[in-house]
Amino acid sequence: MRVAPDQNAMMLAALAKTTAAENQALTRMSTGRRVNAPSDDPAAAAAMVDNDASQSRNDVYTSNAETLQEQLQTADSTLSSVVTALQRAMTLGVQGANGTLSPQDQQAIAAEVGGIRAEILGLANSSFQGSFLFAGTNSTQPPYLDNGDGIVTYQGNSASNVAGISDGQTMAINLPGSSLFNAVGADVFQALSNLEKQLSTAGDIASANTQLSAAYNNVVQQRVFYGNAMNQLERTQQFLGTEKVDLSQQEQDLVGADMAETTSALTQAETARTALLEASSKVSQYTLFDFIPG
Amino acid sequence: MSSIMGSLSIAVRAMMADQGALEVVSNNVANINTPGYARERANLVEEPPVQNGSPIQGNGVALQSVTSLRDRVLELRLDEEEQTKGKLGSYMEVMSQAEVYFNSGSGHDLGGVLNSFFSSLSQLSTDPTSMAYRQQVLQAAQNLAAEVSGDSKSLTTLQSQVDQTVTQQVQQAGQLLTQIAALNRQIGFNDSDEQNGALIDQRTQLIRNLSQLMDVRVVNNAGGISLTTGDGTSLIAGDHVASLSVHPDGDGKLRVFVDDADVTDSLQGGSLRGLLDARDQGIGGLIGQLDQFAAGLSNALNTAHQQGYTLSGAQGGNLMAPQATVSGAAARMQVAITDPADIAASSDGSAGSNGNVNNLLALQNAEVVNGRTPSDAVADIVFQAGSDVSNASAELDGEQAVLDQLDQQRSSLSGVSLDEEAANMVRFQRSYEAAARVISIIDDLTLTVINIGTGGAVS
Repeated sequence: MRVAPDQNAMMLAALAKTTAAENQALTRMSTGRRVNAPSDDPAAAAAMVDNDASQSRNDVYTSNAETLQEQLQTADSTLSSVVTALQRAMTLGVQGANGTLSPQDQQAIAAEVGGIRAEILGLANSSFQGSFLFAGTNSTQPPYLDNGDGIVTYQGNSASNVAGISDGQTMAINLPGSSLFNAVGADVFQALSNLEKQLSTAGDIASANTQLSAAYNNVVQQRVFYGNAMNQLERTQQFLGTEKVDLSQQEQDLVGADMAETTSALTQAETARTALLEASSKVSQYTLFDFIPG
Repeated sequence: MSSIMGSLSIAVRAMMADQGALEVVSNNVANINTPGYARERANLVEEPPVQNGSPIQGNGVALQSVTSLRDRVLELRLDEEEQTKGKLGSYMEVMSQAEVYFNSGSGHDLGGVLNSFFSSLSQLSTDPTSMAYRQQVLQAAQNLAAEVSGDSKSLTTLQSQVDQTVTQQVQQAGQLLTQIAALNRQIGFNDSDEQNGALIDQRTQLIRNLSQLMDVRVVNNAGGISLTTGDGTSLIAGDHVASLSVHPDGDGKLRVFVDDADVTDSLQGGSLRGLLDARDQGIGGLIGQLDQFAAGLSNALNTAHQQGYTLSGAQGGNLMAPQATVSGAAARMQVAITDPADIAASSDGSAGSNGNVNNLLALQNAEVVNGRTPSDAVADIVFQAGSDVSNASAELDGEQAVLDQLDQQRSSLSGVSLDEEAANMVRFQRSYEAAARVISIIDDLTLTVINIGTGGAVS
């Protein structure tokens, strides 16, 4: 068979191929990614959409967890102050029930209990970033309103918010005041008002004390919620950290360039290209015409 | 009986034949880079012998004809492969432009804006009364709508750019047809092979060029050739040359006509097919998927949003512009509210409730786009945009390999080799010189004859 005389076409096609390979390797080197457009690997690019979504959720869960942790911390330390105040009130109640105090001392104790009640009212109306912590979901206004005469009304509701803290995991992020301060049979303000009243009138201080300790026990019990919630969040944050590493590893596997492989691909392409260029400069320099004396 | 004059005329004919052969060499060398040129060969034959009694003597050489070395079947295969390559090439070129709108690395990150939207909702769920968070949700929703509608509009623009190219290529194809028909007529008039060689070269090349644009079938018949499209619509038959034209359909998309026949769907190859496929199937498909996405997501968001309550406790309205029809939904995608307080985050009417934010967030994992979650729908679109290009690219590589091989084959038959031409040149030069030498010897002989008995007066 006659040999095809046009070596240029072949040479050009081969050069185009090695140049393409070289360009591809260079792009991969410079971006660090194997997949730089969906067409480089459509399946990987599609899987990356999912990976991106997971990473994006991981990021927002992580930043949400920080916000929530602060919010829970604020609520918990508020309740810690409430507990301390209630303990003081209970001590005062026991003192008042002693029966050996003068009426003036009784009045003084009653006044101090009244002060504690006001303090707790303030604490119960605490807010975090403009939202009242113990108002249920009605968190844009202070939940507890002092109507005078020892009557405190609750303006919040008994609902609580739930937030997603990782994929498929949700948790309640607040306790409504109705289960903390004005729970049925354990109303903190009623108990304090009653104690104050019984102290100042030398009435049935003992049963007022019983009422107060019921309210106290309720607050202590309910407060556990915040401790648990913070623990849970902490565990979730650890998980999110691990997941983040996993997800970016997954991203690397999906679309990242294997640098060793890419480097060797680049070298190969360069070598092939140089060899081709050298060959093409040597080949077909001469034809028979050059040797025919003119 | 032979004669001196007989020898002289043999030598003269030899010189003429060699001259002709050298002309062929010269023509081959001149056309070494001419596309479509098939090398020519001088066909030398013995002149019919003269019989002056016995013995029968040869009567020299003649340049009988010049043949172009061309394989018609190979040329037809090359035409066909060019049609396939044209189709794949133009499809890939257009779809590579479409792919840009789904390449997260190129600033068009549909998945990214979708993620940001859901992230902003997730953030809002921690504090549904925060105006800053609400503003973020609104902004993220606007970004999402802008990306979807922007992508859809860009793709529509790309479709109309494709239509401009279609118009140009149809014009080109029309011009090529006219030229081919003109050559056809000339070839019909000419008797000489020599002239036809060049004309057939040109016609072959024009048909090759036409093949890059559209599918052409060549039918050889007595009066030359006729051309049809793949499905048999006549392009050139006898004196009739079909006129190619484009006319917009109801949607403003161009359709291609051969005379009165609409061949938009029946064309099988060439870059026109690739362009039309890219416009209708490729880009059209992507726009359709975006429409599904926009309609599914907008309506699902609205349904969930209407279940909730705004910051002021009012029943939630539409979050996005409602989409009554799927077609064109992407281009129409838009946020329906402007006041961040109108985001219906609450599920119980109280401002601090995040219940409805959670309902909206749940759509992340709900199959609201044609049985797919929003994120999966985006992944589908990205996959489609990528595989449109990568499949065409892989096929194109294969096609190029086939074409390269066929070109090699063609070149090995029809290509001009300078070495060969040089050798031929030397050969014919030498035989020309030899013939001239023969003439000079015969001249001497004639002189000898003339000078017989004259004592050498004539020299």
